Amino acid sequence: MNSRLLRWQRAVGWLALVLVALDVYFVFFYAPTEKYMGDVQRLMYYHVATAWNAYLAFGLALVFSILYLWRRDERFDRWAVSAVEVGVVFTTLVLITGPLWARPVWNAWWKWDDPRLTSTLILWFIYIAYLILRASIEGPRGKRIAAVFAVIGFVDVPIVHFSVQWWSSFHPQVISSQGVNMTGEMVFTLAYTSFAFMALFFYLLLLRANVERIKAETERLEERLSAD
Amino acid sequence: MKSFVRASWAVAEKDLRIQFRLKSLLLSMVVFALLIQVLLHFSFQANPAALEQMAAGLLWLPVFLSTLLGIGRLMAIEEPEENWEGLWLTPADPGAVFMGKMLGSLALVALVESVSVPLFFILFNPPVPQSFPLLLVTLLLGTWGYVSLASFFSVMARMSRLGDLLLPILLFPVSIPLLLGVVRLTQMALFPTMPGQEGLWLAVLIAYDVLFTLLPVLTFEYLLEV
Repeated sequence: MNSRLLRWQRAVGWLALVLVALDVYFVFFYAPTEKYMGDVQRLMYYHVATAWNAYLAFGLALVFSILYLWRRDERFDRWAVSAVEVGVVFTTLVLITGPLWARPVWNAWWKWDDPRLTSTLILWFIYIAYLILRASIEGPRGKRIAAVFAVIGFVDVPIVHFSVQWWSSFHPQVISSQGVNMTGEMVFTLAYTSFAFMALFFYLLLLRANVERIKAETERLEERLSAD
Repeated sequence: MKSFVRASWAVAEKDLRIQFRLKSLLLSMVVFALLIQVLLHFSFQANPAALEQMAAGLLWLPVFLSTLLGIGRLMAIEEPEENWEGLWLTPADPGAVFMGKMLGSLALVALVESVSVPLFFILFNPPVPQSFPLLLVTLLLGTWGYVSLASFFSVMARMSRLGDLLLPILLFPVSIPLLLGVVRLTQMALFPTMPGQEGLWLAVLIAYDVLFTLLPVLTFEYLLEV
């Protein structure tokens, strides 16, 4: 079991490396330069790809948390905390690339009246709270409480999203109900980047889950040593 | 259902009786709320011209902050002598225990509001509210949702190594939709010039309250379990 997980980790790692390396070509050479924003628009590929994968991470964390509360299998808790950690890293990247793009285009690093900015910031805060909570309570009770918080946090995400949207709005709607406002090359690059980052996400998730597994194993061995 | 209500009432009544005999917590919460109003006045130099923008904050921040400060003490009642464990072992539904704690806290916060909201009108001299019923409904719905989450997260926070320090970190991000709702509704209730959409925001608050009362009631068991 353990060596199988490690083998998966190595395979997905190589896949992610190749995909992300190729992605540099697509993002910087293959995709055409945007007419009005220029090269800074290329940030969008990374920005949107990390955002989608962060949602994937938090969705997985919800599933693993519910499974943990239901089945009480330590493995689910390890996967949940790993997914949240990688998700927070990705959300941090979203929050950095967004303002970098916004400064030349909107002439401001941050606009509070943009709903997606605000809701992403709150999403980030919710999952940072999860990580602090998970780290500051020991034992199975801490894992249970963190899982409950993950469920509440995830339920809150759509409410935050809509309430902030009703508050007011002007995020670029690249993909709207009217269709996609991009050229074919741009769409391909975005899809490819998202896929490459998904591979990266799964590699980091496996890496992190393996670390959690080793930590649990060490604890078990330490207990056995002290029992003798 | 009947035993659920009875058990919640027993817990709430016990908490309120303790607080009315002690009086110190309730008094400190009221004084703290008033002090926040004074601090907000000086730090933002709230004048009649700026009042439309600031009124909702001046009304709600004292309530939110004094709840944040007081609720930890209310939950702490159950900590000595392993009371939580005792409550978990009673035949009562853990959800009913949570409801009781929450209703007890709600009553105390309502008492704080009964002082701090009238004082807001005396101290800042806003025009006569556009709609008193809307203001009352907003106060009820806003306080309900906030106190429910605050009670739940307070128990979580107090079980952690960080203690009460963790409470705002858990509570504030999750309560942002509630804050947006109460701010908009309070502005609409107080001033005639503010734009409408009462229905939308009331629906947001009601959905929020129902959801974040049900989820803690259903999951409180996991917190108490040893």
